[in-house]
Amino acid sequence: MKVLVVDDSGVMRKIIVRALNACGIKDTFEARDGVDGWTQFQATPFDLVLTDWNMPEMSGLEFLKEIRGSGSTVPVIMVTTEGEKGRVIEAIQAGVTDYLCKPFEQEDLQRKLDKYVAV
Amino acid sequence: MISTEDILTITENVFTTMIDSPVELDNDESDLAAHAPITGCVQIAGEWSGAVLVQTTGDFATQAASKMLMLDQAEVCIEDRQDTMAEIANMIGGNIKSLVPGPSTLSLPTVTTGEDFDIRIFGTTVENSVAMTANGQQLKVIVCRGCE
Amino acid sequence: MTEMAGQDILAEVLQRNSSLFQSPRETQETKDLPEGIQTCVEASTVQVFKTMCGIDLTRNERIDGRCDAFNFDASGIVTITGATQATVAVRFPKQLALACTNALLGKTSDRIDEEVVDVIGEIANMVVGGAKERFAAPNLTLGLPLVVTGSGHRVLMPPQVNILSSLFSSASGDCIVEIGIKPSADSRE
Repeated sequence: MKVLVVDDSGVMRKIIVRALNACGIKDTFEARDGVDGWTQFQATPFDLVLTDWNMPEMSGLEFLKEIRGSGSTVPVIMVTTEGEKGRVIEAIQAGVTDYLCKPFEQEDLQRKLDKYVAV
Repeated sequence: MISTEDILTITENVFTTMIDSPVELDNDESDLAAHAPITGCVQIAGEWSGAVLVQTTGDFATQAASKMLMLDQAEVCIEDRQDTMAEIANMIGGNIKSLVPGPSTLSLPTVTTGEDFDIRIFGTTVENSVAMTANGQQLKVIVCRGCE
Repeated sequence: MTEMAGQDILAEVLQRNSSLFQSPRETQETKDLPEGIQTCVEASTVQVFKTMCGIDLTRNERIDGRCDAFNFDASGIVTITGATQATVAVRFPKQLALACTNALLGKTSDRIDEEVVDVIGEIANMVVGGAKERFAAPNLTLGLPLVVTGSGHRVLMPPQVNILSSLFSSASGDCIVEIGIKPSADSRE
């Protein structure tokens, strides 16, 4: 199972990758912004994408729209500080699969991953 | 791109107006850390995001505070130097803000001092860093631009 | 594999927000006061350290002004601009910064390196982001996190700023959160 983690924060990428590893997922890929994420997404068939919202070059929302615009139905989890109702609705309308607000407990992330990760 | 000429013009304007001190470009990129450095920082948020850092020596901050606050150098206390650096960073940052696409807002300034410190601003890259001298002291203005 | 419907996602986030902000969410009457901001920042600080690092912080006292009684090794600073202009500095002793890094990244280090700096910036960003959500004032923009490292460094705010300090203790060391707020009459743009 291939998982793409997109976040401009190296720390946040490491936290998420660590949680993925704890779920038994070793095949993880990291991207530092939406553009990097979209480039990798087009080159590799991913089974799950976790993306931040606020990132340079291309935001997580724009990245999500690119993914859905390509016809892909891959699960995309938005991992973000954007917890306002309007923002969540915007993400839902763009086709987000699930949503996790920062800060989160390790178990919250684990629970989300368990739903989408079939090891 | 904020050019070296723009940064020099703005810095010169602030320093000649406020403390009657001419400013010149300098090739000496030697480390300010050895000279009790003091750094003023403001951020610009909005259509253009980034930060402006003004670094100089403790001695020059004292000279600037003395001129701006009309005090003898011996009377200048650490708070005076910090307030002066905050104001200088605010003025240089405010002028740079007028050169970048708006609308945007200027943050409150912060001033950092210490024997040996590092500053990192997340999500930015250095757009331009200009080394200058004023009254024979090192002065550096760094413009960092948000990656967005 | 389960997919969540849109309304389930929204309900979950709103449920999380309501449990997060049930107390202390500032009322319209109090939210313009500096103490309102301080309460929001304190609640967010405790929550971020607890949820992200598993570290229980206890707020010990509030000081009206700067607290120079301690030397810190690292500071994570985030500015707020808009209707309220403020700067929040989360100040760490080395031991606490290393404990947070260990909790978040599983990395043991004896010095403040790049990864520790990343963690400090991330924590400061989440503290202020969470406080902004709690404060619920419109049109506030957060600046980019700035991290200062160096033993005994000082981070100062300009004299026209009111400074409120909150002192916290934990098993991994004490920390201080300083909030500098420009009086609102001057901060409206």
